[in-house]
Amino acid sequence: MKKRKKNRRESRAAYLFTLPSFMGFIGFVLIPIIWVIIISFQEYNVFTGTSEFVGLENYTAILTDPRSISALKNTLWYTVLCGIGNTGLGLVLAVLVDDILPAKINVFFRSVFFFPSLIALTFVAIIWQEFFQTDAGVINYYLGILGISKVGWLSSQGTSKLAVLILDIWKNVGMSMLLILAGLQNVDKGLLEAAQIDGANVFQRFRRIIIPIASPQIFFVLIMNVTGALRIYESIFVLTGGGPGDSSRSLVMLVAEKGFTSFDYGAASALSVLLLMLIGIVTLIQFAGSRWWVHYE
Amino acid sequence: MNKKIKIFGKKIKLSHMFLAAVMLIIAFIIIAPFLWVFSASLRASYSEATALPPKWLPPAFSDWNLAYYKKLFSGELPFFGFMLNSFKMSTVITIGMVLHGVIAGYAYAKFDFRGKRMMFGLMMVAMMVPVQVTIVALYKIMNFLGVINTSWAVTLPSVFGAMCPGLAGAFGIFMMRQFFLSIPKELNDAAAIDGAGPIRTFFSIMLPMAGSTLASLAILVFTFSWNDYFTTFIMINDTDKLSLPVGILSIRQPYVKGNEFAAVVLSIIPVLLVFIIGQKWIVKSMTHVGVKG
Repeated sequence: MKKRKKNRRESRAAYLFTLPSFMGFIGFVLIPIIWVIIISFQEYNVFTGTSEFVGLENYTAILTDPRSISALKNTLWYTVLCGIGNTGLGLVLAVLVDDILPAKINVFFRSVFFFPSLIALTFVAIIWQEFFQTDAGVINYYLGILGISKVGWLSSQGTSKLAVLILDIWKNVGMSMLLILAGLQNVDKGLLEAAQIDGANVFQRFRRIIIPIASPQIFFVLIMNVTGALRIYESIFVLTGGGPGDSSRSLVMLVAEKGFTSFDYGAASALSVLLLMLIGIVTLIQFAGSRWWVHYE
Repeated sequence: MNKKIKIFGKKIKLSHMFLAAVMLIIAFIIIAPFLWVFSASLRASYSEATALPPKWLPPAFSDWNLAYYKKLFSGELPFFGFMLNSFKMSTVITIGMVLHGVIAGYAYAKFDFRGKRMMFGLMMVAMMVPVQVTIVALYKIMNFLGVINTSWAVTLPSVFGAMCPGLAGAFGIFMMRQFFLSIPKELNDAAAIDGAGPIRTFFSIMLPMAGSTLASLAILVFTFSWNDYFTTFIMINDTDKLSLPVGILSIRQPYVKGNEFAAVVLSIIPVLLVFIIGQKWIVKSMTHVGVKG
């Protein structure tokens, strides 16, 4: 009897506590998702302000539009390379600043490597845009010293995505480093020493001990980087504006352009749904793949 | 590689010196853009700022050209207006998110109630859906609510779908739930025996313990909303209502880049100061997120 009374009080408190966020979730996340799916089957008329149901027309339109196909390919390119690059380099940096050097030096480097993660992308993209200039750019200047001829980073279709990737890794790798570092701190240093005495080399210790133990954190960072890259936007917007041509344009850039420049809400929503499905598929693949290499205690 | 040499009376491994040198080079690559923009913002002209070889260090103090900074401080360009807008929006988002995050996180960690798993599961799935996907519908909803082109159009959805990198929505709830899960259940039982109801237990016992996690969450949410670009860019049209990251692009001019360089420097300085002061805490709070990830 007393237990039931306690339970009733508890669930009343529970609903009181969860209701604000859950209502917000319904209003600003769930309904928008459903609504975007509905809009993707409609065509919006800018002049009358009305919408009519057109079935799969928006989807056939975007899937036959070379611009969305190229944006889709670019987004996948960013996803794979930003995901792997940030996570891989983050792991390497995390090992470097873990405990090889004295603690004070490590703390200093951790802070320096992490700092760009705190700065808005638009600010640093403004600076990197200057660095990537073909003739007056800092990067080409140093490449020239090394005897490498000038690269048209932002002005050539072949390298525009690479410039975006470099900026993305420069900015975000410190965040990955810090999060993976939390996992490395779980690695028993005695275990590493024992392995070393038994003759395991650096790579064996890395593959057999460090990665398995830090795998939950590495997996979390991978998911974070991949989903971050799937919605990549600002860096491209500032650096290249999506160009030259459409060579660096991402799906989100196309959503913003279709939806808010040409007011083609139907096409923008269909692209959003495409992006949503992409996020779902990529996340599922990662979770399925994680069974092979992620070990929770 | 394991030869040792003596420096300052201490024996140092050669391999460690090599590693330190590599890390110094990486550190330079990381801070070079900040050095460069500070130096460039003090040059008289764009061509001087971008002249090669690159000037990583600012000119001698007597040669500083402060014209661009004066423009920002005099209000000729609406820079401080942008900063104020950013500050207001980030504050509202942070307070909103911390408030609903802490109570919901507590409920999901400590209470048993019907629909708990379903509600929590839905929210975790929603964490994967970025605002970029729902932006068309969100725009229509904000339009319907009549708040388009006001800061509410940014803060309302952001409070419930904040823009943590790669994660949207229920982030704060998740983080607070992880914290409260780490508090032993016996504490709740003890409070119940003493006759405290669930709500009083929360406010007088649990909440005070959550101080540092709350601060971590607040720092994170504030930073990410301060840096957010996309939502403001879509929802707000009037230049004078823009936040800093969006506004800074609106004062760009071709070939006269001193304004934006100076604006970039002034935007980074507060973050740098906060980082230097709260470095330990910020680094720790980031690690918190990872531990339970």
